[in-house]
Amino acid sequence: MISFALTEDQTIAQHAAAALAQAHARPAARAADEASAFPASLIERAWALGLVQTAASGDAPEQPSVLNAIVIEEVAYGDATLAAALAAPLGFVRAIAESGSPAQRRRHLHAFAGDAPRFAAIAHVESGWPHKNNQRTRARRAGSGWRLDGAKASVPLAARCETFLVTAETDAGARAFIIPAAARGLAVAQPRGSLGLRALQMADVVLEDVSVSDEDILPGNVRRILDSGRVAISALLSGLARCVYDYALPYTKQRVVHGEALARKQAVAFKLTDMHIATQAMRWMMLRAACELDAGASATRSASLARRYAAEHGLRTADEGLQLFGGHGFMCVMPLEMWYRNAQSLCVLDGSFGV
Amino acid sequence: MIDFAFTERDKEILDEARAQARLAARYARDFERDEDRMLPHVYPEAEGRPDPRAMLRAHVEETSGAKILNALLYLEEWRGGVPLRECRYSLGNTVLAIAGTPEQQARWNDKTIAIALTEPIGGSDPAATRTTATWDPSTQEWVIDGEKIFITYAQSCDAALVLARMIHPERRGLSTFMVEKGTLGFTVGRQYRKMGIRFEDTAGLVFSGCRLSESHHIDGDLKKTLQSFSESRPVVAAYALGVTRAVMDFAWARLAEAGVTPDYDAGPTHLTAAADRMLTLEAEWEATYVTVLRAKWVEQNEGPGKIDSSVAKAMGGALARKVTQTCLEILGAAGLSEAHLPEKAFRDARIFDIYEGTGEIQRLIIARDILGLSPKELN
Repeated sequence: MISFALTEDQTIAQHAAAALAQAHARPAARAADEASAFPASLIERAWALGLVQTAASGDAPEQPSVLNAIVIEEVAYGDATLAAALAAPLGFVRAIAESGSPAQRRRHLHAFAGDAPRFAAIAHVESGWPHKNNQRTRARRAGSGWRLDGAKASVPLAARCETFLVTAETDAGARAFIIPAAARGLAVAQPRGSLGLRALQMADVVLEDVSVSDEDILPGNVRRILDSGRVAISALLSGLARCVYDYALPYTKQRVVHGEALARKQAVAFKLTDMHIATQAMRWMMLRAACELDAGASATRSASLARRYAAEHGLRTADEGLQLFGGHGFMCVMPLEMWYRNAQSLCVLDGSFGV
Repeated sequence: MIDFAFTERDKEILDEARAQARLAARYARDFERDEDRMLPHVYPEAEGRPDPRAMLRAHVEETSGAKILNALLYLEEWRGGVPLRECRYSLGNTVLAIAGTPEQQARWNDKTIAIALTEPIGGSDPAATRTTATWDPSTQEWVIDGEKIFITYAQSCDAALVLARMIHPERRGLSTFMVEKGTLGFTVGRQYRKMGIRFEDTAGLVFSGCRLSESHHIDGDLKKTLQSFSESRPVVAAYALGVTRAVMDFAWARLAEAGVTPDYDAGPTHLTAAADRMLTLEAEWEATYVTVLRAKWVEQNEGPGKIDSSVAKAMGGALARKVTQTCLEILGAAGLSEAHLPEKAFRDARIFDIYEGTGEIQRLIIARDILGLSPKELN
């Protein structure tokens, strides 16, 4: 039955995330961007929202993907980079919890059930320039196990990760492999710095003849992991877009040009209107895809289209928001240029996060 | 709990409507050459099949709700190009239900009442209305004079609800008046020649000294009356969803014959230009769809939401233009042929960003609300 009503639990989680976003995430975002690092206390606060621990506990709440997406969106309203830092280990844990074998769940989830932040990530984005093969990281059969070669890019907080879930092409399609950071042949490259989401310290993960046993291949294909990743990107962009919109709107009422507030000019008011429309549509599409994930049916269409819409309109919202501030939007004393860089970055990070 | 899944009853009703839309498709071109012809209430193919709206009324508690399902029924019907069963949805009736006295409602409830708002000077600004209702104290009558244009159901309606400026010793401002067919001085023009939606009955109305008793004065809160537009706006977006869905399905089918299929997993470097553009349209379609559901869900739970309705309408209007244009470009010269329906959809769909308030008017409504500006401050 079609409904847009959040449950009480979802509303409570949303409010907790909103409080964190306002009190801690937003005020710390610029410093984290400049330092390319989060203060430890901030990560701990985000961790204290409990998403990862709950996913690791095996005790799934009602509509876990919807709940996670709502919280990620709300944290992203404060700082998309911090929200992404939460959505990266969450993606890993959710993938193991949902698709892992009982043995894999026993072995890998326990570490994430505690109060201290722990890191792991899905390594999906391929390193290097566009290529005719989508997936160049390959896994080939070697005896009773597998050998992996390839390179993954933009892995969030890669240097702090204890485990990676690496997607690789096999003769029977793409699969996901659980690989400890300490595995022989796996190297985490130095972060080179990036356009946006700088505090994520994204880095390449290079695999040279890495041996993986059959016990560490995730059962089933990677579709659900990718769909969950698309919902996560949609949630991050949705929160970011709403943040830009809410920041730009009051400014246009204060700023006087040619004797009149900017907001009173249709060219400006209609920009804000289109931003409002886009943020609404992004949000409902994201929640729809999350619902379908939770219902267990294929969410590929809704998740993929939600991500596509969010990428186009999330970026446009960040872009137009910056434009409304003119030269001030370009200056680092204001957050708009950072939000713009973050939005562009999120548009190309498919598969790095999850709900 | 947030949910986008249909109930079993929703599916049954919508499946039946979709099946009937397929049957109606054979009549889709009947009005293309003969716009004076009136749409029949029901085509013979509907014989022996349940009326989806009757199904909805009978089982409404097993559905996602009357407002949501009603909008989705229009979506299904518009896939066919003409409705197999005419469902008159006239704002005149909505206004009567909101603003009429019990006596007035009892009198005109079962009539088709066209809403007569737009004038030759324009339709987007009701404050500029020139049609007058002059009080004649000698006969205790209102005298209506003026001209209305672009009126839906002009010919087939039983009465028109006319927006007019009162000229009265104690009253001023705008109000609405029920002018029945047959009233002396009320004439209906001939059907307009239109680019599309030729099966819709559209003409102008002229009122010349039409005399009405006070019982024909629908004297409700005008602001509230005009807000009834909030109900119909997402419905127009649903029309747009139906027409565009049919065009996109047609385009995908032709692309499949050329080996191009939707790939929701492929990255931007691994899609043909046609598939990439089509997937952008799919995303816009889904975006519009969720805003229509949202507007109708809000209406069901809290009453018509002005902003949610305008969001859906603005999305639907833009979608109609973008989808039909892009699909016709992708289909190439064959898509221009009257042998197929996309060219008709291209012509039909263009109205959705105009009637019931243009895209620009929707944006003004939204902008004033989000910015907290009055019509005087933002126009």
